[in-house]
Amino acid sequence: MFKNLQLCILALFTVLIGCDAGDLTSQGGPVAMKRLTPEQYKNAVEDLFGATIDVSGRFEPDSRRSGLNAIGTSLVAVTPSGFEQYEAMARSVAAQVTSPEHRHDLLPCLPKSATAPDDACTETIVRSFGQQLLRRPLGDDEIRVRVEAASLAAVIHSDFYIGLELALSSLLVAPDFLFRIEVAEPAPLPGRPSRLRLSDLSLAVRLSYFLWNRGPDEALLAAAVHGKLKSQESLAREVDRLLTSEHLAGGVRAFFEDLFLFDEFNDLGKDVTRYPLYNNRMAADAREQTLRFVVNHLVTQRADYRELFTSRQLPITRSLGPLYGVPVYSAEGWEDMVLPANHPRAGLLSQASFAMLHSHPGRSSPTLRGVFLREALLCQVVPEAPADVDFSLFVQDADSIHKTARDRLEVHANEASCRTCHTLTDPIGLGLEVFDGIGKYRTHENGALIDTRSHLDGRSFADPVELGQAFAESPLIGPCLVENLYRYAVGREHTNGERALLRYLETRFTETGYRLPDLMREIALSEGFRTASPPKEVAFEADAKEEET
Amino acid sequence: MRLLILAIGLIPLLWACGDESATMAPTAEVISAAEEADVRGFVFNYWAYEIPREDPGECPDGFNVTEEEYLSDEYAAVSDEVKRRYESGDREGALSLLPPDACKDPLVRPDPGHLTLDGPATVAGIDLDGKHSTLATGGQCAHNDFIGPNGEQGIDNQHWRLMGCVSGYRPNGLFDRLFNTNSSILENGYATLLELKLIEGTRERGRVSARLFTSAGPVSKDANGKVVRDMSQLVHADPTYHSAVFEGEIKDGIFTAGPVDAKLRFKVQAIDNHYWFRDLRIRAEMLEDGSMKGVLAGYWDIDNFFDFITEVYIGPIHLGRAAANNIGYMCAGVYHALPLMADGHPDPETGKCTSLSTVIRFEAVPAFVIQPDQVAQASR
Repeated sequence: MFKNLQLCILALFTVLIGCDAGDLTSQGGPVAMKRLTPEQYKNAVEDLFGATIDVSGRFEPDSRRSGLNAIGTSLVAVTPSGFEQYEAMARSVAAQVTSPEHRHDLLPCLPKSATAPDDACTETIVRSFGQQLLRRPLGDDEIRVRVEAASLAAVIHSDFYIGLELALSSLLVAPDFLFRIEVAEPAPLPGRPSRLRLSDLSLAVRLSYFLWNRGPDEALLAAAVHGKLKSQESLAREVDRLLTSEHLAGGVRAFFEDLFLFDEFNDLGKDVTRYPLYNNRMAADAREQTLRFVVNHLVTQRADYRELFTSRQLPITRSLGPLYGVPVYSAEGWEDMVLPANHPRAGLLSQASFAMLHSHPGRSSPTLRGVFLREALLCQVVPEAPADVDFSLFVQDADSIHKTARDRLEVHANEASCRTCHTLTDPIGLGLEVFDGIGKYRTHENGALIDTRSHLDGRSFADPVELGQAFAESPLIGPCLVENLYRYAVGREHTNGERALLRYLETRFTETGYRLPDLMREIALSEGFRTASPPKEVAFEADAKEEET
Repeated sequence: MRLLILAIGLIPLLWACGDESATMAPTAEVISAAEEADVRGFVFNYWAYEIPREDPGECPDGFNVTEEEYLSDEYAAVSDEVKRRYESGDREGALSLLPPDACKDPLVRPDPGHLTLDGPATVAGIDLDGKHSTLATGGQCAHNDFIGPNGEQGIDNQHWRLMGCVSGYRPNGLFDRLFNTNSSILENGYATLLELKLIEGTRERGRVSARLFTSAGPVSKDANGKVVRDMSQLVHADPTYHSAVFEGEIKDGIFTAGPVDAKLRFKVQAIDNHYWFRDLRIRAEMLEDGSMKGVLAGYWDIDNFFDFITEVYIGPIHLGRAAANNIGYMCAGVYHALPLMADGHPDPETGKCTSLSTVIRFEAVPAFVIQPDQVAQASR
């Protein structure tokens, strides 16, 4: 078991074997051990025990790599203090599940006596819960040790449920629960003798987390156990079933939450002396607004991805009304509205979430906004700012001669070391300057009229609405989404050998009218998604030397 | 001079004022325009009685006394026992020792008199009756008008004449300070909403229809404790607190509208009541930032007025007398002075006026006024 794990982990560091065969024969990259995100952990508990079980505690922080936490999950471990937190959460969940309040509803069997061991019942529970938590059937040994431990604890405490709590806790801290451990197996094809594919269980798990952001359900697990995912037709049936599930919305939501860096909302703060309208509720609603907008557009309406940048539809709450300057009729909760044609906002880029998140605490930032849009939506790399930037030039001061952000940023035109990057980022960000640091519309800054006229890669625009249109029509927007979604799906950077696959997916995305569910289907059924590259030999040598020392 | 003496001489002199003809039904055109029009909403973020600061007027006989001062001997005779009973928790027993409470029943004792502000003062407001009224000219509901800060003639504000010599109403007095905290709006009370719909012309110069409402509940505040602009404000579900549609005009940056009758809910601390204004008019300056600032002036029903100042409760505890003692008047005195100071809406049978001209200063910021039926349609 552990050797397998080592193989999986070390495979991350391998040099990838490319495959230039194009679309359906592209070979995937290395398999990985991916730590559950907090959301995935909570989903797992909710799926098994329902929403009444409270999951509270401090999770290990995610690690964003190459723009995605989904990639970082395969590059993180569990620290000792992090494990203490997992253990505390596990004990809490197990205690709730076995409590008198919940045990009758949640446990598949009840003991003959509450004050004595009942190994048969414990085994039933461990087998049932274990399969769902560990996303695979448990081996007899895995069950036996837990039943024995539970039995011993029940005798010591004269309480069946204390023993069961111990067994459940052990499942919730098991590496196989906290990590999605991918395993590859040989699956040679004519002309491709070294071909590796994900095991059926690993493929099922990768599928369900990609499409649902939660573990496989019983049907998918059963299909994997019975080897049905090896067949392209059976696999397609499962993929289609997952794509029509209500959980698809959660999967799409998780992807965009990751892509849009929305975990940064957890630490977002604003200077309320500058933005007295801002509060935590507003920030939470702004984040939720964008996610609802995206999911509704792409999943519910199955609409064209590019229209995200021009759509005037908007879910809104009472707290967001003042930011957008529109009436909100519902006293509580969300309502759908269509912004009037003369409204200065349309599409994703003009939503408050982006303006809030990509600003400084006390002022907007065309540069931060430009960096985010270039990197996340156009897949372009913007280098970090040099360490010796003189930020005193950019201090927002009503008495300054630099009244607007445009004035201040023009200072860069004279700084050769800044010019290249800011030429890339600022023109986009300046188009959004009518949205202040919390996303409220404004026409002036420090008394000076804000000029939003600018350009995106040679295309001129006058305002945020036209900027959205320029994004929608950018030739980069579709390919970038394909690349990001694929990287998210497999949880790693794409390999050189997968470039042909990406080109194929881009074509299919275009042909299917930029429908996200169709793209997800293409990815889920692609060779790259379900295969793996072999580990590099040198990694084992390095490991062996390390063990010797 | 005690008001009672003055009033006896005035009664025969009363003449028409605050006449019923001032309340005009909106035309079909106004109602029609109100249904489909360029709409602007406002939420009041400031509300206070007009208390003139530069020239509030003189009170040559001093300010009104409280019941504790007026009946000092009676209070002194029982004070030790009252205190003992209070401290032992026998609140009802303590109260039973005090003189009969005229704030519960103003007829339990003779009129102690009430000092009014009879001289000149410079008071903001509106000439509600269209006349430059003086006591000397007599007639029904005769009264002396004030002069406005800009020399306007005929300002009607008998409310100030009634309460201008109450210490708590004077500039920087208790009532003044309470209103300046704006707590009635900011501390989980209600706010007044105004909705304007353009009938003809432009937003800068045109005719509008207008309606006043009470909000459904507390307004949202920002981190500085100010009312949030551009927020959607729900209208109170009870149509009692919806005025009829009335007509107004925007010209040269000034909005004028009315008259209209309106009941506007008010809640602050121990007061939970409503104002009943008749023939209410608005005059406000439209500011560059989209807000407005001005006065509401109308006739406050005197029964509602007395009810307003005496129906003060914390839980089951009636605090009308405590409020009077804190602010500086006696309920019985005010009760008897009210009909004498009233200058509007004469009773058709008795000829006695039934309302008191009153001026409210207000400020309002842009808001979206949401009707209850719109909420129901949007809910899902």
